[in-house]
Parts: sequence; structure tokens; C-alpha cells
Amino acid sequence: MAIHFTKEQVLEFLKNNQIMSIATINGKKPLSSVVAYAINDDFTFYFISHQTSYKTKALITNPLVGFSIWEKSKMLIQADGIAHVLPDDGADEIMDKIAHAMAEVKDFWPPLFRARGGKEGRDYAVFEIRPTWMRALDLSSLHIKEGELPFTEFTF
Amino acid sequence: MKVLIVEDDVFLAKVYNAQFKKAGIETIVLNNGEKAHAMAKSENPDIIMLDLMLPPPKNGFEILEELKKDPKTKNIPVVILSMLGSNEDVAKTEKLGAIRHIPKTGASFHEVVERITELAKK
Repeated sequence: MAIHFTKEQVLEFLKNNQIMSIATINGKKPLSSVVAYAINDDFTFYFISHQTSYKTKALITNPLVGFSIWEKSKMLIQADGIAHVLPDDGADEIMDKIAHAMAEVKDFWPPLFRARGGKEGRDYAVFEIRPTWMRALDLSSLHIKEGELPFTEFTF
Repeated sequence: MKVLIVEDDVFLAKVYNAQFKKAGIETIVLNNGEKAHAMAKSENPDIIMLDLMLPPPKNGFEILEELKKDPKTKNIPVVILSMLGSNEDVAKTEKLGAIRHIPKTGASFHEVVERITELAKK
């Protein structure tokens, strides 16, 4: 039978993972990307991208974002929210937080490299995502119960 | 063990720094090459991880040359971690005295830290 999760359990799972897929609206087309993230206790997510990347441009034009995180035999999270670029004065601390999260990922090779050096990291945009909706699916169970949705749903 | 990281990409430097710290390795991070030589002299790191494309006044080739000309720093092993990875660039850094040239696109953060740690132990 599917397990229904508490917010605390979901938060713990999210803190133990560092990679998510995000979906943005790039003009008239959907755009999917993989990013490393860090998360706060209040479910605020952070990730980083180039100032000139497709996803940065997409999110500046339309801040709606969908995202998912999963781990085999554990949990799948699907969520949506609003993304915005953090101002420079708060960005450095968040970059450290994301860098530390990425240090936990053994094999992640992010396409973050640029051709020429910039100044003080301002080639990057640091994004904050505040989720508005989220659901969690228990992946440890092989069965679902007829008539019972296997998801735990949260709103923020 | 102490690693001097010379990397102008602030975020990449933070990620490498976090990876080394996680492995229990002390680091010094410079986001430009201006003070690299002086820092190598004063801190005497076990190894230097050097980017090549650095903002003026000094690029990585120039820093490497300086390090290898100075008797106080010439024996510190230097590993190049750069987007520049043509045969010419690799040959040039080898000639200048780098012990290894790792293309940034060719290894995960974790692998880079592992390789540099191994090289520092030799």
C-alpha cells in the first residue's frame, strides 16, 4: 500500500537529493533542464544558471516553473512554483549553499562552463523557487490500492 | 594537504572548494591570477589547480611560467584545469612544467578532486 508522507518526510527526502528536472516556458515552446539545487526548511529551492541561458531567459519572461525530483525505490516529487532571480547582495551566500549541495553529488557534471571569465560571478543568475503545489509518490511500494490515489499532495 | 585553486569562475571555484573541503583537504581560492604566484610562495601548497583563461593582467600560461621560473615555487606540482584542451595548449602547458592537463568538460567535479588529490600524494 502506498505510504502517505508528512511535509517533514518530504523535506528530508529533498534535502538528501540535489538534482532536479525543471520545465519552463520558452516563448511558445516548453523547455526542460536539469539543475543542481539547494533547499531551505521552508521549501524554498535555489538553483543557478548562466545569465544568458535559455532557462534564465525563459524564467525572466515567464516565472512559472514545474519541477520533479526522484530517487529509485524511494520517492518521486512533482511540483510547480514561481521562480525569480535573487539580487546580487544575497546571491553569494546562496551560491555557497548550492556549491555545498553539489559537493554531495558524485557524478554530476553540470554544463556550467563559459568561454571567458567574468567578474564576481555575475555571469550567473541565482534563482529562488517558491513552490505553490507539490505531490509526493511513494516509490518503495510495488502496489497501489484500488480507488486510493497514491500521492500525498501539499499546497503552499 | 593544501590545494591552491586559481579559478576565475566564482561558482565553479566554490564547487571545487566545497568538494575539497568535504574530502578534508585545505584550500586557498583565488578568483584571478594576479596574486597566484605570491600566494604560492607564501602558502607553499602541496598542489596548484590552475585555470588557463583568466582575466588580465595574467593568464594561466603566464602564471605557470612564473611559478616554474621561481626556485621557491618550481617544485609545486601544477595541474591545469581548463576549457582549453587542444594538442597545442596541452603541449604548451607540459613544456612550461604542468604535470597534468584536465579538460573541464572531461571530468565530473568529484573526479577532478580525486585526480588532483592523487597527484598531490605522489
